[in-house]
Amino acid sequence: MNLPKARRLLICYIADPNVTPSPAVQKALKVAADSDILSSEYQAQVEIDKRVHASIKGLRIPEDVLSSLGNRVASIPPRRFNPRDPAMVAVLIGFLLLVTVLTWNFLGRPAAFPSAAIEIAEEVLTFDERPFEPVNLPAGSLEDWFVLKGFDGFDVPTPLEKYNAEDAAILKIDTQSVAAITVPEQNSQFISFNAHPHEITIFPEGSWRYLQLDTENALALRRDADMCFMVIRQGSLAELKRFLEKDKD
Amino acid sequence: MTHLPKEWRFLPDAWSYAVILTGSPQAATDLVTNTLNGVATRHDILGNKHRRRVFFATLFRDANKSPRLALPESGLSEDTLELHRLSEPGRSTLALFHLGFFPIDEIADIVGKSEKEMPDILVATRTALTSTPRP
Repeated sequence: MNLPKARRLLICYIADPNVTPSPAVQKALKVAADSDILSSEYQAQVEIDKRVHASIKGLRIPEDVLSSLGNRVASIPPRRFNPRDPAMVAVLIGFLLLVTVLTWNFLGRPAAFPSAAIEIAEEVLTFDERPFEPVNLPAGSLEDWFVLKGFDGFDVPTPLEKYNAEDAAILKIDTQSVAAITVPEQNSQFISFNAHPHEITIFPEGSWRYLQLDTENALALRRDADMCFMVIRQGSLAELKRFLEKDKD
Repeated sequence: MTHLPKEWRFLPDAWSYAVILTGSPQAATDLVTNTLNGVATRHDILGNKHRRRVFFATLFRDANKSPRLALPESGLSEDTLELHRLSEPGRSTLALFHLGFFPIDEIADIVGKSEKEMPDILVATRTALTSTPRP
């Protein structure tokens, strides 16, 4: 440590026999011990500081004044709710974080395309055995056909009921039944399955979720009551949206 | 001995500081009482350290608005009167430095100077005390 730095450190230091100086001050004191000039400056400072300290500590507040101040302090009402209180700010931030997480869970997750539905679509597209049976009936009239085959709840959204299903099948995917029909005139397959085993939530009910599955296929999924209905269509996502929008009304 | 809550135990030292500023125990009492009334109603002051700093900064500001009152009959020691007669911001810097409530950067804030100026202010103030003739 050089002399100027030691001097500046010691100027801002008050010697107190009850407090150990910081390492920096200890170094500065060593520098002072080796310098006659700094040493005499510091000794003069110590003498002045002793006088100042004794003078300040020698002032005694009168007991009646202290008592009066004590009474005034005692009459200060306890602090009320203050939104700028750090504790309040922390609670507020925590609450907002909680709301964000819950919102993400309840609204954000359903807004995304459910991964379980993607897996079902991939399974349907890569099914090795094709247990389809020819039906040649409008898609909307196949509910009874599926009931007879052991699948309850097959339901096609009204605008899509008119499309002709060439064949149909009940597929087993992860031990769950999935009803599928092929609609060649739209290069599509319509899929219906129970939402509960796959924990699929879509909000609001009846709205479509879209996904470009790969370069060849696009998906659209909706949930009505307990059943999910999915369209797998060859082509782009834009084409699929146009197809569903066209038949909306 | 009146018992003050922990967060207000600096009041006797604040009074001592006010005596150095005003040069009069009565004026110091008035100044501390007024400052206490003002600070007590400030709901934006959070935390004991913040409150203490605001308190001393208010004492510094308000005392320097008034003329110095030291009179021979004030009953103050010559050393205290010497401190009272020092010019600002050296007087407050030295006094606050010795009260030991604040680090040097906070003292600089209270007296409205930068931390870099503090060593020079302290040297000048101590020099002024040395050059004051002792009775």
